[in-house]
Amino acid sequence: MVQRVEPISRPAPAVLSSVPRSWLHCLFRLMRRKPLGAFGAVITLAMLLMAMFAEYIAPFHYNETHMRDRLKPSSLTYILGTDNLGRDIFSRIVYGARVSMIVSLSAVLLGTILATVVGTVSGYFGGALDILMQRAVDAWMAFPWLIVLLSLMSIVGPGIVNLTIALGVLVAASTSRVIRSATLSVKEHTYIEAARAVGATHARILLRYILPNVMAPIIITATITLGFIILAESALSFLGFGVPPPYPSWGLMLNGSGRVFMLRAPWMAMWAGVAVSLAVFGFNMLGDALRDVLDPRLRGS
Amino acid sequence: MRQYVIKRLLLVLPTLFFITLIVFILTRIIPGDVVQMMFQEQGYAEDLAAMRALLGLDRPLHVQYIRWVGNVLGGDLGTSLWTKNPVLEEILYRFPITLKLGFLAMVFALSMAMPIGVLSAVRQDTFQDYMARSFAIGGLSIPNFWLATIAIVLPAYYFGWTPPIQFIPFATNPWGHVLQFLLPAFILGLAAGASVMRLTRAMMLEVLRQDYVRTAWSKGLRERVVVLKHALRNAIIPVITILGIQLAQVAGGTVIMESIFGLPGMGKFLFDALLQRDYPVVQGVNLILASIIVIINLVTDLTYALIDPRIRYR
Repeated sequence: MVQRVEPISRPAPAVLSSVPRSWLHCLFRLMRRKPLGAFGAVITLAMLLMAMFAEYIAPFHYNETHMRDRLKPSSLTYILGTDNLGRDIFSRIVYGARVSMIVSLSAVLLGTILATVVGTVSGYFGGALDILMQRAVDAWMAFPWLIVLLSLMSIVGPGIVNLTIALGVLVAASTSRVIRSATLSVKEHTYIEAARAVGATHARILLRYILPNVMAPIIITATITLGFIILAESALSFLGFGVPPPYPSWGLMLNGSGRVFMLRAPWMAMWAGVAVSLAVFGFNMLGDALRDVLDPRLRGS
Repeated sequence: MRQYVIKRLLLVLPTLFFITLIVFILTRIIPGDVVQMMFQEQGYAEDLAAMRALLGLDRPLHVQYIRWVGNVLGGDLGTSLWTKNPVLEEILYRFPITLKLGFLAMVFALSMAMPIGVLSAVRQDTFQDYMARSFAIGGLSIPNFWLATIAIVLPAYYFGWTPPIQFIPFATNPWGHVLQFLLPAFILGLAAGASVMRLTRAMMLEVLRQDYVRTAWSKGLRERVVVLKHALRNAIIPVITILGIQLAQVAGGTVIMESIFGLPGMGKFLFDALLQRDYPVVQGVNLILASIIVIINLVTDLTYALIDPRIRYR
């Protein structure tokens, strides 16, 4: 049966230009498609800037006490008020951002590196090694994270380094599962088989072929975990087992020992919590948007 | 099915073994000597050598481990250094309170999260959906200890009302006993509820796109029947699997909630023991909690296999 062919000389329908004209245009398109993610990115950027330029943003040093101005509500000098020792709460929050960022970023970095090693090795080699490693990870994850972190911190003693290592181990356990499943799916691809056939060593395959292809889940999980680690660090500091006292930490500012003063000065209880919530919210939103963009299959995880 | 059950049960054993290993190592990685530290901090051990012999620290490490595991299997979790009572007895005394708190928290979480998740999926991208998702993200981001502090401080500041300071046992005042759990359980359930809500929403969105749901719509069934009877039943299955994980988080959260609201449960007991360096208690609570969670995960996995036949034949 002869088909009638439509003439090609119809004018093209008007569509939005789908070719980005510049990187700025690309950025705006991304922001419009994922408004929450853009908002999260803005918050994250703000936190990082606060952390890096704390000296220029904060009007006072975090330990500077003004004994005559204790428990004052917010005013022009003290933007968010003062605490029971006369320290400016706003400055402490800004410096607290630095402490939170440093601890969380280091912990996530450490944990992600460890998790990548464990996850890729476990997933790639499989067999008894895989089963054994997975049972060990399962056992570690069976402990409620707060309880095991508290126990660990009370045993090894206080300190920022100890805190970072403890948080890093926690990150490693949960992230290694995601990396392992990503490795398992990459392992089935034909180019891995081809590489083995050509005689590539296991190390080369792991570094050169598997690692670049599991980068996307690693980045996504790292960003989402960052939000959680900020929460975990603040919970530990709240209970007194986190960041030790000279350094300001958001959790420490909400500490129970200051609760006595909170009836007189409820603003002491407010702002640090708002800071933690905003930071966690920002990182979570950024991670969600990254996941939707880079790897929609992980949605719902 | 039986094969799956047996395989799953066998997999639990190495996990339990690793748990005992972790708990054992936890209290042995103290830099320096545990007895020295106990003496310095709490003045427990006047005679260091005798204390070491009592705790069995003068034996080689693997012997200590085997003795400890043997004791645990026989029901002896050691003696609390603070209260001088057997650890197991202390834990069992406080366990019901933590159980009530955790159970109530999960009830709150599920009863809030499932309806909101379903609604959010059915009305995707509407105002209700965005509100629901914002609440979920808030539940995940807002630290529960902050929420608890605010919940105590603000009513006290503005209305002069505080939750009861003294713990009300069931025998004294049953209604008051239940009431004092409500606020901490609600706050505890928020984070777990947020995760469950997001997963329910994601699963419902996926299921609602399936062909069998489309068939149900085309048959002319009411929305309620399609959503609840056809879609939700299939969407819930993966949600069951994360219940075990959420319970672990809730168990951890009880430490904070019990400390803030003054409920004498296992979490507060552990926290006090950590402050006092009461290591037998720390070991015992960690071991029991981890074992319970492993068993709960086992039960949820088996339930999952029971409900979803595709799992059994993998």
